[in-house]
Amino acid sequence: MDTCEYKAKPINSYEDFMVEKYWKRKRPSEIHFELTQKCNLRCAHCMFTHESLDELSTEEVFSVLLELKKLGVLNLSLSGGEIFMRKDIVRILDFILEHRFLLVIYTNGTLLTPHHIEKIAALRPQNVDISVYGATADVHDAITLVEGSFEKTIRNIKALRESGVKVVFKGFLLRNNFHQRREMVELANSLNVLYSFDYKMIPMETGHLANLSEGLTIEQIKQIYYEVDREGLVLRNNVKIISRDNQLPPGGNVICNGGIVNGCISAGGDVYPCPVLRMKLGNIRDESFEKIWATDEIDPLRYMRREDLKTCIACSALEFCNRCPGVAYLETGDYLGPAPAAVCSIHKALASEVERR
Amino acid sequence: MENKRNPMRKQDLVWREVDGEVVILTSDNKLMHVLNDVGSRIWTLLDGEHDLAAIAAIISTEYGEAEDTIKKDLVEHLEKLRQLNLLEE
Ligand code: SF4
Repeated sequence: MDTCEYKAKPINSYEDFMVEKYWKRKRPSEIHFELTQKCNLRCAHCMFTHESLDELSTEEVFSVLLELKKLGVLNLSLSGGEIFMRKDIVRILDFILEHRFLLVIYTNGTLLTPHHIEKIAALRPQNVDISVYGATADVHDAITLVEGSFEKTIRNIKALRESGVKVVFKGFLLRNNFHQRREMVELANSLNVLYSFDYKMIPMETGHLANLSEGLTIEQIKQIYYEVDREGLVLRNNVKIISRDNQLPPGGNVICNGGIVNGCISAGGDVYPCPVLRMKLGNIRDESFEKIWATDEIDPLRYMRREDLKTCIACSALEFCNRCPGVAYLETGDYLGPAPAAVCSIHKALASEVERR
Repeated sequence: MENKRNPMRKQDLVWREVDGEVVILTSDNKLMHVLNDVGSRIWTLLDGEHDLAAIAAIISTEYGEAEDTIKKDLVEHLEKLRQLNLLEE
């Protein structure tokens, strides 16, 4: 017997390990935990209604975090709403410090105090993602609908950086800040932070589409696509996620990890396959997360094959499309189908533009 | 001279025991280490509560190997973990 044999492998073995231990066993490795729906900003494009609901208590949050750790969850994203609206956020951060996850924090950055920043720095999160909606206060604040929010966000990005925290400047492009996209890149660079830009609109969690009108126009998106090529503007969603294979290999180029290794817990304890695909699988107040996750209700999502996407595989825009099962579900109730308003209108126009050129 | 402190895994590492195998992310999160079953069992005992002799005794009982052999292997194993910066100094 070799008592102490062990393998130390570089990160490229991560995929094998994830496939064997997580993907094949439907074990979640990454959880997006929405600690609250409350938010101090009122961004018009937001998918949440911010209706106050019966949020999980501190003890309930602790108990689910312990269960996730026991199940083997490695990555944890804390999200909202705005997580710093929670009065017990410092206790939750301390608890996470004790139990260790590979952590990402999503915040608008406006409510951070020096004490919060100290706590975040101690946690050494992978990154803190801060949403920014403009390069100047007038543009940003007109989107958040809260005067002074830009100034607070930028001030706290600087404070986090000074504390050695890795910050990602998450620029969200909307029709009313599109004209500032270059200045936003310059701002991110001047703050010495990483940046990524997104424009993909998500219908409201209620299925309403009213917020989509805040998104980029088709003309603006066309322009963005050319700029991605020419200027290297970093967009999060400019990748194709449809597998070329008929049989999706475990951990390979899968259509989506939602429901397989990625999951979401809402502020009220509902469990979803992902933050966008809001198909309730159960509630952690009624059953353990493990039991809820074991459901076969979402197996068609987990083992989705290319030919299951009947409308999409016949679509001429497929090459350009970043279809998302969650967006389709919110819009039509069918995660295997298209999302005519949120996705198809844009990508079909893009496809015909490229063909025209 | 013998180190008086018991061997202890680094406190700021993210690690999980998954089906009897321990996976450890290094503190810069750039590397993932996977330990085999014995390595994993040893890892769970590196809590600062057990000294080398105690760990060797437990492994010896559980895996049916002579304690002396285990002790020798253990010293080497801990040295490797130390080199990988996975143990507290
Ligand atoms: S444009 Fe619509 S139908 Fe075509 S691939 Fe995208 S989601 Fe499917």
